[in-house]
Amino acid sequence: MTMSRVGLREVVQAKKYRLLILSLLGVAVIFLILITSLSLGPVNVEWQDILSVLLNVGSTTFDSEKDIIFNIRLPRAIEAISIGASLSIAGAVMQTLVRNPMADPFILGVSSGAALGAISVFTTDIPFGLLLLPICAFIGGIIAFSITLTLSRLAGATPIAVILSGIAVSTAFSSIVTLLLFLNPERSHMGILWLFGSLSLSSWQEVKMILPCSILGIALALLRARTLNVMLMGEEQAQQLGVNVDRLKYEMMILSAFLTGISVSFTGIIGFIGLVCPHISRMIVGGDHRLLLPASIISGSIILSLADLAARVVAMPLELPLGALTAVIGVPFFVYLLIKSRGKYEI
Amino acid sequence: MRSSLRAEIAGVTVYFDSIKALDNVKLKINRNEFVGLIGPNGSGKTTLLRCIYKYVKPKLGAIYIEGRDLKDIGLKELSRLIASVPTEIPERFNLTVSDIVLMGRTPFISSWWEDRKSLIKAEEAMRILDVLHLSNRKFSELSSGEKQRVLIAKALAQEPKMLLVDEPTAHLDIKHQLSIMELLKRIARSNISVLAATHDLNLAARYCDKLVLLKKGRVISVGAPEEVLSPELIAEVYEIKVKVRRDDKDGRIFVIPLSPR
Repeated sequence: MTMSRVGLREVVQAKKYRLLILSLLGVAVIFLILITSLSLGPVNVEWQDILSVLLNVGSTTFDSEKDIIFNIRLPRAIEAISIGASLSIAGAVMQTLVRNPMADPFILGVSSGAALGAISVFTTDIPFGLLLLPICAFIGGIIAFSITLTLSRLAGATPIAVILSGIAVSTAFSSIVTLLLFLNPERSHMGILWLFGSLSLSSWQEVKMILPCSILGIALALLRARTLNVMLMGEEQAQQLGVNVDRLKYEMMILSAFLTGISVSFTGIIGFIGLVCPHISRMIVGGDHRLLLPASIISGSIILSLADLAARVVAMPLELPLGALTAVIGVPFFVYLLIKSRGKYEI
Repeated sequence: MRSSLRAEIAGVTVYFDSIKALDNVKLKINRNEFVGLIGPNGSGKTTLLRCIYKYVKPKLGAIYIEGRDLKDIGLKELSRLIASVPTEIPERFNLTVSDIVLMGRTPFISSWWEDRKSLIKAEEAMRILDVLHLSNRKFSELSSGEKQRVLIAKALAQEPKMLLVDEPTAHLDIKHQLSIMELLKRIARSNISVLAATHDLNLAARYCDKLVLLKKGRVISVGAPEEVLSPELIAEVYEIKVKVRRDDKDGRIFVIPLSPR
């Protein structure tokens, strides 16, 4: 970077190009992974058959293959993409909100809160449609998030206080979830799927709920991208720059709980996507949310799709718990961040 | 021609819980003045700056900006009048120098990308602070002197009429201390009133037009450096023994610390 004559217009122009290339590349990679997910499984389907099913011109394929691709694998792949993106954006927003790169829906307890919300609908016999589930998950997530933020404020609001409060809240809510499942053994199979996180119950009916909600939440986050940048300067500076900090904080808290809630209510607790993906994105494209958020959407989609593919394929015909797989990637990453932050966190 | 702001702090009292952080502070900042805020740790320097940009709300008293009560000026409008240079900012988010300077344009833009005028203004500020060549560098990798210049550039990009600076020379070596103070003086002369909190009595004496000496939230003395920095007042406020001498050439005073009292 020795180009000392480069002005700011060129710098911003370069950013716009990077965003364009990132988006094109991201869409291409996601499409490739989508096709691969559709083709792999207990029944392998050729690529050209997949294209013909997708383009609806397939007279050559068997109906059973068509059914597997269209009614089982496609909704699952779409769910993986939209939930990966949602969790990643929720994580990115939370990290900015608490100015702590170790934050994530799982670590801050929001996922567990959402799980409790969903499970309490699930284990009681109140008549519920698919609708009640995400709403209760959302409410549970908001409550957990509020408790975490309040606790961390009481504990002095240091970065490490935020993480510890989150872990406390997460553990508390998870144990209530476990208790509820224990007391309702007839539903514990579904419950276990939930605790480990799984996309195996994906359906078009779920996609119809998840996809619009994800798009809405992500779009709202993107709209606030530039303002989120200002939050990185600290609340005092943000306010000094004319940002209504309290309003933005509430907005972003609700938004990230919403994205977490919608994810958890259908697929259970999938941890660490919200930690790892924004972080990798930040290393590649930098901290500006106008690049960071799109990059997080892409990396979240890719990593969760790949993780789900691995969960399905690695130990076929057995399906591995997805949440455990993401934790296998996520925990070492968390530890790495913890060690790297040495000295910067005053405990 | 835009002119700088004058401000009046009229009997401001601030409580943190039951502790008086500021006690009936009265102070005037005139146009184009470079005012230095001095006093020991915990004397209320930062709190006073925070009152002026509305981060802290006074319990009693009022602040007037160009005769208008600060209570009647919204945050958005205020951010177009007054800029502040923070002592430090969070660094773990991979922001570049240009990211940070462009944030100074926040009060003026509502679009997703910065508009052309913002880019020109931010670039101007970066030229003045000589940080344009650092545009694509990561903020966290800069030296302390460069960081300070970038943060001042951010504040100047805000096109303020008054600049509030908290400890501009902390963590800097002596050459950078002098050049930052030199720069702040130049900024004050270019139609932006400057109020800077500092620990360095000699730099304050050398560069500021006016000094405000605070102790435990109270204004002990206001005036030209030679009025405020008397051995008696310094002894009273800082609890140390000093000699105060005058430079033969430029007539500026300087303080020689001798011993704690």
